[in-house]
Amino acid sequence: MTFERAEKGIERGDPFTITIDGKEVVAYSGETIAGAMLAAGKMTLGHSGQKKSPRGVYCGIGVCYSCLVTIDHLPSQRACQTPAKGGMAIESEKKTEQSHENI
Amino acid sequence: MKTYDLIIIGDGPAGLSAADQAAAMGITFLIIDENPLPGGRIFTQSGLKQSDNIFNTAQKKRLFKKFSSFTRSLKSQTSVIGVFPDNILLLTSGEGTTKVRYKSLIVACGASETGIPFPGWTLPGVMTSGCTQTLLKTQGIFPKKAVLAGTGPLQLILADQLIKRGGKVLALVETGSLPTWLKASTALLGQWKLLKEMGACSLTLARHRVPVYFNSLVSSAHGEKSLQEIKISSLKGSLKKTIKTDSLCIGYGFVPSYEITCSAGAKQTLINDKWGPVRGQDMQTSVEGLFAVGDGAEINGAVMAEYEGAVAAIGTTRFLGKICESEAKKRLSLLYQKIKKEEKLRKQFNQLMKLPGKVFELASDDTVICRCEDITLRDLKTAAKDANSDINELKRLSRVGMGLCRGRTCGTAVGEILSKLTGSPLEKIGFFTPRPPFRPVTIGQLAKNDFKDN
Amino acid sequence: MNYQTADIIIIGGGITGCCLALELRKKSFSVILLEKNSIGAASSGRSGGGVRQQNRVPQELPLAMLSVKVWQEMVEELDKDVEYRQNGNLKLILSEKEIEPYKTEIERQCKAGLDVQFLNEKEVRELLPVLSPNIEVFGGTYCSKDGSVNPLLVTKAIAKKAREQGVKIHEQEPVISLKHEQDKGNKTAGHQKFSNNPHTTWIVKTKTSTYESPIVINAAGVWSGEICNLLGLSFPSEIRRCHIMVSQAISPIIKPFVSHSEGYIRQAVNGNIHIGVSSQPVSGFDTSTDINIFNHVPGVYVKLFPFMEHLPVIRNWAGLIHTTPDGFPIISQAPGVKNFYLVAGWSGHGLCLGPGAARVLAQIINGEEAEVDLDCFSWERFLGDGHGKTSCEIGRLI
Repeated sequence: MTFERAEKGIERGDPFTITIDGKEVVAYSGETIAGAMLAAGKMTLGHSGQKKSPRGVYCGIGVCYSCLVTIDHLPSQRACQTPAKGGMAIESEKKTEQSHENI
Repeated sequence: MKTYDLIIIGDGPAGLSAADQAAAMGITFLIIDENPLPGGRIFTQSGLKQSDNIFNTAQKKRLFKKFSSFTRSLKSQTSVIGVFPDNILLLTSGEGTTKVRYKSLIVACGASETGIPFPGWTLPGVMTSGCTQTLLKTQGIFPKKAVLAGTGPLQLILADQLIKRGGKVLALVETGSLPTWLKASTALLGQWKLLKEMGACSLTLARHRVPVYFNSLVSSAHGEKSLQEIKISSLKGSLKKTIKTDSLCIGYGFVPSYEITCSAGAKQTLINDKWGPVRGQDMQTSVEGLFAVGDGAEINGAVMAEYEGAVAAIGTTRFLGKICESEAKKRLSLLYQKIKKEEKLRKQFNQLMKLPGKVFELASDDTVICRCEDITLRDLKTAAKDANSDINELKRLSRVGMGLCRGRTCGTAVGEILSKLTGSPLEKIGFFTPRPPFRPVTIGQLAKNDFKDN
Repeated sequence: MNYQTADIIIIGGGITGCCLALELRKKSFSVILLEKNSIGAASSGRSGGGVRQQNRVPQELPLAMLSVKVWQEMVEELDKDVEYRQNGNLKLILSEKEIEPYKTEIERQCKAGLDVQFLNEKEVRELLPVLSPNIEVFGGTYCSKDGSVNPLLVTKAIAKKAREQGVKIHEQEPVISLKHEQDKGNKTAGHQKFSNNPHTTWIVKTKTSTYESPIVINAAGVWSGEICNLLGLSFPSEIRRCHIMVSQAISPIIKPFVSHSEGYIRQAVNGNIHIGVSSQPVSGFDTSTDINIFNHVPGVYVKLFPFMEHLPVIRNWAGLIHTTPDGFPIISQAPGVKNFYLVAGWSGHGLCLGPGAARVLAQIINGEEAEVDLDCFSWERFLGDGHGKTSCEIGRLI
C-alpha cells in the first residue's frame, strides 16, 4: 500500500464499507472517495480522455479532473471532491471514453 | 433576481477577512465558495477533528472565530459558472443554476498549482504537494514513503508534517540553491515565528536523515501503470540519483486566477510571469466596484490575503457610497502599512518561489502537456507553426486546454512553451479566453434554472 | 513598405476566401490572400460544421449540391483528416402539421436530383436510438450524403494546400485602404461609378504593405461590409451571434447531424456533443457568451435525449453570422464596379456553401460557363427601392 491512514493526530469518523471495482473496502466518515481509494491501495483511478494512459489523483482540490471515477453508475465524478458514503459502488474507469448511454 | 450590495467569491483567508470587514462596516453581502466548509486551501477543513495542532495557526483560529458571526451569508458548494453584462453572475450548486446581481464584487477565489509537465508526470502516484497536504490535513491519509520535489518552502513544511504523522521522506529535491535559502533566512530575521517554523522543519529533516538535493529537480518519472521510480537531475541536466518510489509530491508554486475578473472586463497583466488582474493599491481592478484579493489575484500568501480582503471591503464601502473618500483613506492607512511590511517579507519569500527556466524544458516530444486531452509537446510544436503566437489559436489547432480542466492545469506551461517556440513574449501569447460555464455543469443542472422568474 | 502584385487579391481568409484562392490558382491565376487575423479564426472556425443539402430553400439547392461534390473532392486533396464525415443529416419532425409540408419539400428535392427521404417514426428511432421514448415523433427527413466537418481544422488545411500551390497568404494584415487607380467617379446612391476601362488596377493597402491587382474579391465575412465601405459601397445586412455548447467527450452515441425546430446537435469525431443554439442579433463583433443560451435550451435537450441529464457541458463558443434580408448570400460583382466581387452575407451557411460558391465564381472569373446559376445571389437585388424579399426566418439554423 502506497498510502496509509494516520494512527495519531486525527479523530476518524465511523467506518463503513464501499466497493471498489466490486471489492469491499473500509472507509470512514469524513473521507473522500479519493482518500478511501488511495488508502485501499487503488492508485490508478481511470484513464485519460483520448489515449488510454492511466490517471490517478493529482491536484486533490478538484481542479485537474484526473481523478474521475464512476460512482453508483454515474460516470465522470471527481473522486477527490466526493465524500465517501456507506454502500457506494465505485468503478475505476476502464474505457477511455465515458458512456452515458445507460444512465 | 436578487441584487447584493456586495458578493464575495471565495471563503479562504482573503474572502473571510473581506466578509468580516464588510460586516463591521455594515455592508450586507453574500459570500460563496465551491467547498462544503470555509477556509479555502490553506485552512481547508474536513469534518474530521485533528487532535493535535500541526495544522492550526493563530490566523486560522482568528478568521474562523470571526466567521461564525456571518455564516448565514455563506452559500457553500456553489460555483460561479459565468459572469455577464449588468453585473450578473450565474451560479450553480447541485440544485440547478441561479442568477444573482452584484453592485460590487470581491473576487477571492484563490490560486491553483502550477502544472509543470515532465516525462511521466501523469502517472498515478505523482501528485502535487498541495494534494498530499490536503489529504493529510483533511483525512489523515498520506503516502508511507515519498519523494518531495519542487521549488519553495511548501515541500519543507510538508516533509515535516508527513514525518510527524509517521511517513518517510525519501528525498527532498529543491531547484533553489542553499545560498539562496540561507540568504532568505537571514532576510527573515525579523520574522521570528516564520524562522522558527522553517528551522523546526529543517531540524526534523536532519534528525530523520532526509537527503536534500539543492539545484536539482525530478527530471522524469517512470512506471507501467503507476509510478515506480523517479530520476533526480541537476539544473544543468546531469543525472544525480535514481530513487525507487511509488509516491512523488511535486510543488512548483501557484498560479492566480483570471477567469472571473477577465470575464467581468478587468484588464489582466503578468506578475512574475503569471496572469492576474491589474489592481490599484485599494485592490480595485480596472473595473470600478470590482476588487480582486488574495492568491487569486497575486501569490502573496495567507497573511497578505487577510490584509487585502479588509482593504477591498473598505474600498467596497466607499464605492457603495457608505463612507467618503477621506474616511476610507483613514481606515486604510494602517492596513497599507501592514501590507508594506508584508511586501518586504514576501519579496524574500518570492525569491525562494522563483522557477528556473529549466522546469519548462523538461518535457520531451512524447510528454503529455494537456492531461485532459492527451496533447503532447510534439502536437503543440506542430500546431504552433500556424498559431501566430496566440495561445487561443494554438488551442483551436491542437485542442490543448479543451478538456474538463479548461487549461487550469497546463495553461502556464503552454504559454511558456509557445513563447519559447515562437520567440514571442508572454504578453503577446496571452491566456486561454475564459468562457462559461467555468466548471462542467450537466445539461440537467442547466435545465433547472430560475431564468423565468428573473 | 512591401509591394506585391497578382492577378487576384482576395480579402478574407475564411473558408470561402481560401477555397477561392485554391480554385483560382488551379486555373493558373496568381493569387494573394489577405487575412486580418488568422486563417479560419472567425466565423469559419466557429461554425457548427454542418455540410447539408437537404431542406434548403429551392434557390440554394443547386449550390448546395455542387458544394457537397466539391467537399468530397477537396478533402481527398488535403494532407490531413479534417473529419469530414457524410454521416447523414436528420431533421426531426416533432409536430404533426409539419408532415405534409416536409413531404412536399422532399418531393421537390428529389425532383431536383437529391437523394432525400421521409423516415417514419420507427426509422427515426432506429437512426437515433437515444431519442426519448416520451417524445412524440412524427417522422423525419433524411439525406444520407449530408454530414459535417471539423471547422477548426478545415480552413487551415485548405490554406496550407493553397500555399503549397503558390498562393501568397498574408495573415495578421487587416486591409486599411482600398482604391482604384483611376479613382475619379461621382458618388451616386452609395456607389462610385468607375470608368469602363477593363484594365482596372486595385491598390490594396495594409499597415506594412501595398498590393495591386486587376481583380479584388471581398470574402471578408462579417467584415465584408466594412471593406465595401472603403469604396463607398454597401449592402443590407445584420450581424447575428450563434452559440454552440460543448459536452464532455463520450463514446459514439449520435451518428447523423440532427436538427429540429429549436436547434441542432451533432457528435464530433472526438466524442464531444455540440449543441447549436439559434442566432440572435448582436451589436458590433461581440463573440462573448449570451447568458440566455443557458435558459430554455438545456431543458429542450433533457426532454429530447434523457441521457443528457447527466452529461456535463464543459464550454461554449460563439461565432458571428452575416445575414441578408432574404437569407441568401451575395455572390456577384459590385453593381457598376468592374472587377470587384463580393462573396458575403452567408446567413450561417458559409461553411457548407462556400466551396461551391468558390468553384462557380472561379469559373466566372475565368470566363467559363458557370456550373450553377448565381442570378438569385446578385447584389442588384438589394438596389433601388427593394431590399430583396422581406426577412424570411433570419434566425433559422443550418
